[in-house]
Amino acid sequence: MKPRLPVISILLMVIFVVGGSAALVVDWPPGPAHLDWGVWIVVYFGYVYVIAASLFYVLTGR
Amino acid sequence: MSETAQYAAILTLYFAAMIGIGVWFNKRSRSRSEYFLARGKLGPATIGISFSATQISGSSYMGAVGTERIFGYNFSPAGVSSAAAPWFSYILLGDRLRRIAGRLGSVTLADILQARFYSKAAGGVATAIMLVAFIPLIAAQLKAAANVFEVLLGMPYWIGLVGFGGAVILYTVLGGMLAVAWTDLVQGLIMMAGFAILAPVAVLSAGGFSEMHRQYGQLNPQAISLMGKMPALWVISDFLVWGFFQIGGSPAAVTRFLIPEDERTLKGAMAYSVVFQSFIYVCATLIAIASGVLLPDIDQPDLTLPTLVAKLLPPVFGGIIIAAVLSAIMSTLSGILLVAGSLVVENVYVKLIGKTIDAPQGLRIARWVTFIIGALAMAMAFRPPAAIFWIVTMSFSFMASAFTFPFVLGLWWPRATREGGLAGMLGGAIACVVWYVLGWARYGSLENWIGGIWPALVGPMVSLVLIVVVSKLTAPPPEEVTSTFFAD
Repeated sequence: MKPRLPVISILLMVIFVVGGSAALVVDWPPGPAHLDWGVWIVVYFGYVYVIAASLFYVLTGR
Repeated sequence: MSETAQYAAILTLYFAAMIGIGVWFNKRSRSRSEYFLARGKLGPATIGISFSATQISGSSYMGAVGTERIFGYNFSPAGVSSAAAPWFSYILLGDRLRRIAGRLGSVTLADILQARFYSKAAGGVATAIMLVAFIPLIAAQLKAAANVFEVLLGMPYWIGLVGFGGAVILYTVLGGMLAVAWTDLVQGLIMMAGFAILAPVAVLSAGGFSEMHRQYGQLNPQAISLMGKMPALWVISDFLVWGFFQIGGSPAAVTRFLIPEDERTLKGAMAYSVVFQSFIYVCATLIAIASGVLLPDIDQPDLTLPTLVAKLLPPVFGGIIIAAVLSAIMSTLSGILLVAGSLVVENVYVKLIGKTIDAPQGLRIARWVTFIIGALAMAMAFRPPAAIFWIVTMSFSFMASAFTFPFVLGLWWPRATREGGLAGMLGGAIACVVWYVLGWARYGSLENWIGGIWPALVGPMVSLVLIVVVSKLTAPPPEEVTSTFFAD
């Protein structure tokens, strides 16, 4: 009766929201290009994560 | 030719092209449903970019650069979250809304809420909340555009308002959703082109990626990391709100989910939206950090982008950036205007008042109503009353509070009842306004909130609790509702 939930995408969303919020309060060590690792992970890797997760849903529907 | 004349020539051509699109699509709609939705007539790129261009307003496009120049990487998580907004919205709402709208023949989101919560009151409340938020938003977008003409081109405010507003209202009234979506696509591409030109020039002018960050870190040491310049709750609230809560906060964009007839088109549209928004926000971050190095003393954040353009680019490219800023305003404005028109015609005139209209008459009424709403908003923008700014400041949070969980639970939880849905919409909206008022009472500003917690977080949480608790305490929905919504 119930519609099928895209479980893996929802899991990826939870990781994004919870992991992203937690990563904001960590004191990150310095990384390349005068930025700390937090900026690289949350900001620049964040965009890669969102695009990859969207494409995963487009290709699998899960 | 003077610099202003060059800008004016580019913008005149641009407006003429947008009106041309409206004229081109003028005869393509045969009914008001085709006029407001164009169901099945748009491809993934048009729907995807139209969704995103409607979601990214002029203040987000221009304001993001100015704000991020000051707050640096403290503000960037909000950009990542904004890029994720279509990911949340398409997956949690998109396909469910598409299927149900197809089954019910719905034209507006209020139609869907009315059917899901089997009550005219639910449709009425949703229509009222959207119209209260939308009409001042239209006026505010018109005012923002007129200010761009006034500040950047030295034109009188009223010329910018009438010229810009007239062009947007004209192409929206003439061509309906087909014109709005196709102009959104063109405007979205111009927004991308603007940042694609400016971002590398700005980063190179600031010494390259690594050197730019070294200098920015020296000038603004608290803003080179994720925290420091702003309180932790502010950064976390921004990260949470700008992604997930766009589900309810941007009904004009979400209406695009009612357009596609098949799942494949919708999924393709999602890919376009996410890539488009990621590109815009990455570029905004790079331009903002570069401007922090190149323009360290600028006072007004909103002038960051135009000042940077004037400093780094020749007038022709500068004209493209101004066209990009106006595009961001136009796409949001036309999307909201059309949805406001559809709410008045479908939910007030037809469903609430109970008028029966045939297809040609419906199309005429749809055009007239859209025109009248646009004209009213333009009249408001000539001398905006103070209440407009209050409503505009609160509108996103207000709609996010009222609609996020009624949509999500209404589409995924068969047990959600009429009473729960109504309590969630009204309770969320009221909690949001109360939280703003409490912040205003304590700090004298609508932009400072108790504990630094956004009303766009408080309202939806209250709404969530009310829907679940009230639904559990009331009788389950009728069988015909659950079979329409959940028999997949």
